Amino acid sequence: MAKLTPMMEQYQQTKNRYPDCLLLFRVGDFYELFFEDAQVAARELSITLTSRDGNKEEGIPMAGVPHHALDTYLARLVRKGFKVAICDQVEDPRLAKGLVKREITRIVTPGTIIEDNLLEAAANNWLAAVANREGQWGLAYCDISTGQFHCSQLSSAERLEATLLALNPGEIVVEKGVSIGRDTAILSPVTSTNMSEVDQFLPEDFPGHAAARQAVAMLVAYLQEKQQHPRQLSPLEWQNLDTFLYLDTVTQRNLELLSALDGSRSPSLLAVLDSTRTAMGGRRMKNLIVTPLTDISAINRRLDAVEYLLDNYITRKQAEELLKGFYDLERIVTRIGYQTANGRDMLALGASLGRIPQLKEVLADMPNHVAEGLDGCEELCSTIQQAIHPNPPVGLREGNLIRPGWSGQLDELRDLASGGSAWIRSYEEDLRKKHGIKSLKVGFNKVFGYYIEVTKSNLDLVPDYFVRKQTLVNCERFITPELKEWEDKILSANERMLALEYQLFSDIREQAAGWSRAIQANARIIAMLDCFLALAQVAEEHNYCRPVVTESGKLDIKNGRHPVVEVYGQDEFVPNDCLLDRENRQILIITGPNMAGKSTYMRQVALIALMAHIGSFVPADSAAVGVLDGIYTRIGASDELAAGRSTFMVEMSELAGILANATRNSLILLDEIGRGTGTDDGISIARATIEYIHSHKDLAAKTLFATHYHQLIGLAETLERVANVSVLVSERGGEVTFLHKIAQGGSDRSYGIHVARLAGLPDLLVKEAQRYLEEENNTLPAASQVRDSQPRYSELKDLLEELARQDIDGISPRQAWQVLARFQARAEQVREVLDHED
Amino acid sequence: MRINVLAPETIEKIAAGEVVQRPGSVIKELIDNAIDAGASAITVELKGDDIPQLTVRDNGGGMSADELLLSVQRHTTSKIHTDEDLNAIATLGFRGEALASIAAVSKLSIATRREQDSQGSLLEMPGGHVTTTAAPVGTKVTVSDLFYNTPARRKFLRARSTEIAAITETVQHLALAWPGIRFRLSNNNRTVLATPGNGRLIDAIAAIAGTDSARDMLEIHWSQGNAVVSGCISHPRLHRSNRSWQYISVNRRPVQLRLAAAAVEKAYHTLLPRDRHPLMFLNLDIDPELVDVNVHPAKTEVKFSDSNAIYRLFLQAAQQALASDSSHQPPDWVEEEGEPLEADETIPFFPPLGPRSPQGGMRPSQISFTDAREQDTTSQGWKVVGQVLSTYLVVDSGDGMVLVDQHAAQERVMYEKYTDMLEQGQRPSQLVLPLEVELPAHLLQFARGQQAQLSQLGFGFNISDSGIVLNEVPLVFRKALTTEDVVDILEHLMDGGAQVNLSDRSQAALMMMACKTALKARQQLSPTEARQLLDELNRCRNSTTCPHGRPTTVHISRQQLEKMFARR
Repeated sequence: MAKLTPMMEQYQQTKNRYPDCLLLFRVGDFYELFFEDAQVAARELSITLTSRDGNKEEGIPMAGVPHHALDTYLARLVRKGFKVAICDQVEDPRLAKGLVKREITRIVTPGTIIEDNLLEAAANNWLAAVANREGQWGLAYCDISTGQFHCSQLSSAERLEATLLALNPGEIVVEKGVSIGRDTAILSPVTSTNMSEVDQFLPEDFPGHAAARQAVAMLVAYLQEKQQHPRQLSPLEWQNLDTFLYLDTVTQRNLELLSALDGSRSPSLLAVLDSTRTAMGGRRMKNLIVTPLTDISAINRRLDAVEYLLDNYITRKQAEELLKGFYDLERIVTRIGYQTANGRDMLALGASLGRIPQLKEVLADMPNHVAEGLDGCEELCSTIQQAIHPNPPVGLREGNLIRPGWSGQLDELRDLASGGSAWIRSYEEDLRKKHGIKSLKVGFNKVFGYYIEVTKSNLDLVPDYFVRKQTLVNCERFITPELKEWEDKILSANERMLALEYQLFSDIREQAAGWSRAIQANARIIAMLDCFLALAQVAEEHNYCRPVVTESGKLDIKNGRHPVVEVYGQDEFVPNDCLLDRENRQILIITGPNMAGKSTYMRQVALIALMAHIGSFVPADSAAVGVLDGIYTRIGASDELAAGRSTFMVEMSELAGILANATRNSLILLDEIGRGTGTDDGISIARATIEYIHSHKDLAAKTLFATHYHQLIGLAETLERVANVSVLVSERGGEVTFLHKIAQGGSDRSYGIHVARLAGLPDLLVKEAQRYLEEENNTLPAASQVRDSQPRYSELKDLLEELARQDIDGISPRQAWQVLARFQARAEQVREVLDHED
Repeated sequence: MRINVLAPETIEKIAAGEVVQRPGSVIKELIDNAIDAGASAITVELKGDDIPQLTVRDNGGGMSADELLLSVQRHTTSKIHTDEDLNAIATLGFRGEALASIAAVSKLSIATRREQDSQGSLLEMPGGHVTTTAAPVGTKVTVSDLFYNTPARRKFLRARSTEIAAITETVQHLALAWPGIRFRLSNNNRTVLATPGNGRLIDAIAAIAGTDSARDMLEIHWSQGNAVVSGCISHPRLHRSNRSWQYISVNRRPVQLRLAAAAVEKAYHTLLPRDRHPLMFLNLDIDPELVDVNVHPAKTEVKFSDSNAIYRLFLQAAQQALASDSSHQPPDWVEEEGEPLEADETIPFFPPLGPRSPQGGMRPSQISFTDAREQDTTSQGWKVVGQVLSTYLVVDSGDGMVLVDQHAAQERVMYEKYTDMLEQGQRPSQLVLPLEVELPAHLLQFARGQQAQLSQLGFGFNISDSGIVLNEVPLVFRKALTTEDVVDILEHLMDGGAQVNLSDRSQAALMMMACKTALKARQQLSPTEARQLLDELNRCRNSTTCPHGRPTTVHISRQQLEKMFARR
């Protein structure tokens, strides 16, 4: 292998330290990538792949982006999930002796970004760390863009999976060799952790054990590795995940809580509930939905807040209006901490803080003093309003950061800098008059600075003290000592002005940093208020009611509706009741045709229970909800064929998990258990499952069991806490209509053939199926008998039926003749078919 | 041309034409039906371009399959049974025509279910067969292709946006008449209107007119016999340039009731600037026997058995509401009041020394006080600081600054004085020299006809050939009356028209007189005079406006001053 140049050696050394990152190496005006990195970049960013020392055979693959476009390309790479290390030239190339010194200045990974343009506004960007010690799982996670920092401990891998699914971190830090089984998050093996430092981050009464501590340590170490500052995070908050309603992974996906099954945002429960107006509220709402509470008084406190807002229309509207003007305080505070906040950020902060007193006043009467904790930070707010320029630019070095009147010194310099231009104009005027050159101009460019421009025709009037600097086609440019002297003054004034302005700005930013705890606290309260407003709005819009949450173990819903389907569905939604309790109706067997609403019914019961636990009103006329500890689901046929498991296997695994974890305080939804195998096996398993749930005393969970095995209806006779319900169908003269109404009692008809017809199967096929169904012994004929099946007979039957239906009274002779002609044609058709058969 | 019998379809279309003039009429009829069905939530959806497809959904009682079939036939209704019922119509609909009319000029589809039925019924017209369908309790009516078979009518429809505006107006009126029903109106999936339906009118007003307007509403509840006027009217500081925010309903039926609007506006009297109108959202509950609703095809006009009584009822209701509101704030442009300052932190505007300025000058900041020590306070703790442009008094109110238009203030003071005197019936004063006034024919006629009433007012005179000879005038007119003044007074008195109560016309006359005899603008006032004026103004019942409705005082709070000087 050819020897590398010194710069390439430097590159290689740097690259070796960060093998898992794409290394952007600053060379002149470009950030370059080499070797495999270049190939990846060329592919992902659609930039040209060239090579260094290209004419040699072993050219080094190279690709690059201009330095001023870094952010755009960086955004793309990060969004695709790459980790990027940025290596800058840390000394002025002009002054360097030999190789320019270079250092890594930034490492950007999906979990550690803070730039606004790389982040999604209404979603947290979690960085999680997972560790396994002594049979327990420790989970630590943070969002450095908002400062949130949490930790908890779980007892099983399923719980960990469910939690990670709800959290949806952008990046998970794990120990080398560990795989969590999730293929969507980036797994980052951490190299070393320093356990001694961990204690600084843990609160005094840290209830976690080794696993949790390890997770926190890993997280902290990773952040430090990636040059982020763990100190910037809020204090660590311990979360006891047992206090939340447990939602297993299937439940989360199938109930379409945060996104539809295909991953899009709507239709989902989030889409229905989320009318928040601030980014902080948007993030909190997502979190609210996947961490429902189990503490009745906490739930009621939330319900009280929603009820208050619902009853006080005008107050609510005023609060909504005020919230519209709040910016993303959490992220602004973070940028202040990292000293990257710009003028606009500060202005946004001031504007938001300024609205707090009004908000407090409007919401003064909210129950449980929800709005009382808001702190207007008046001192900081008025400083910002007085000091920050009303129209700052995005950058920090371009001036216009400080308002005139804030600093006498700055104003002086400003005058000087701008006054300079006035002087220039008058100087120009003077020169024109003095030398009689009417077209004399004073101009400026980066190369020569200020110059005096005179057209060629006037050159004879140019005095001696004009020093020629540049000759152009139709004019010449000069300078004078006076001009240059003034130029120095102006330029230096400008420089000093910018420096002073930045300094003043930094000071104010520093001051703001001192308020960050208060501002973050405000942000948490505002996020919650925003969520309450959203919940009140949806409750009004869709006529929800306040659920009554108790310890009764009962689930009694009157005229319940599916919150998502009623909004996004095409047809009018038909409401239905549901009653589940511990004494008589623990298990409901739901029978009836497919497509008639069984699945929707089950899901709506689960969603209503879930919404009650969130502290939201629910879509029903009334709802009494006994507190649950978990919702478990087995719905639909998820084929994980790629993972080598067939439908039935998956089904049974999920069922096993449910039966192992559910308790008498859980809600279980089972849809078509036993479908993936032979009929007899399936019925047997289904029946045994029901009996198991019924009789096993620790597992007396409330269960909704939808099935097409109507033989199971008989179980209601033998098991005292099993009841039957079914979906109603109306049959009139051959027309079948699904009424979407749930009624007591089982149904033994599947209407499968009807569904087949609706699906578009050929008429002839459907008719035959119907005929087989009606026959007593629906045995399939032996092969030799097949030709004897009489399609012609049914055709004839149809023809005769139609003829019988004709109304021949009161039609004119002409019409009668038309009818006759039609039938003759039809008879002809049938005869052809019959002939063909024979 | 021969006379012949019209075909049934034609008859239908003509009859329909009375009821269904535009999409707005369809919406109104359908919502009326929904309300009569006992709905607590009504949704109106408009879809499509051009003539929109209309859908009205309610959660009321619904219909059985048989009732559904009957509903679209002419002259069928659940709302009245005999003609006696016509005398006391208690529902919004009663003619049994609406659905039939709509069916005649559109493609109609109705889905409905009653609570007690497990299945719903669906009817589509044209067609007329009822089929089974899944449906929630209530009724959903969908009207498509309106006027598809009457091209003439379709041509006469306005632009889509105009029709939508008309629909919005209709729904708004109904929503305000029924604050206990939740209304939602959407146009191509965009929500245009949404009221909470929680039974509180003020919230419905907030949803439709905005929360700012809702904050400036006064409640009305006034009954006489068993007629009750209830609702809200706007505080005098809130007003509009037109009458578009005046919604009246009778027994919760939205109507156009000019006399009610006029009565209420009358009650505001001098509290509003000229040509500005109040907002009103009122309902009259009255025995149905006293109201005839069957007057107009669209049922928007009603007739009362005693319109005068109704007028008085509205007038008194509004007057009562305005009087009981003690917070007569100064008009529009004063916003939040801040916390009051300590009393000793006054901000003297001008140095209190300066010579009296000559009359007629227009130089600003002229001070006319000579003695700084004469800074007595008025009865409400105001200190008069100075006078500007010889027209405005500058006052330190303790927590801010007040500017007083002396002319307007004087007018108000005198007007109330005159009004009081009139009410107490002062004896007229004899004129030393009788005043001969020549009158134009109409005034002479008027004077002749109203001589008795005029003399009751205090104007005693004899008729001459060409005019009157005045020998008695009301005590208040102490100053010498000129003949022009008399003519003016009579003109004003006559202006109200023959029907209106004479005492009302006298109000107008008094206003005019107050104006004339009050201080002219640009008149110097001594501190004592100024203080006296302010005290008198403070004692007035309505001190904030002059009789013409222009403001007398402007308050500038401490906060606003600080804002002006960029201290905030």
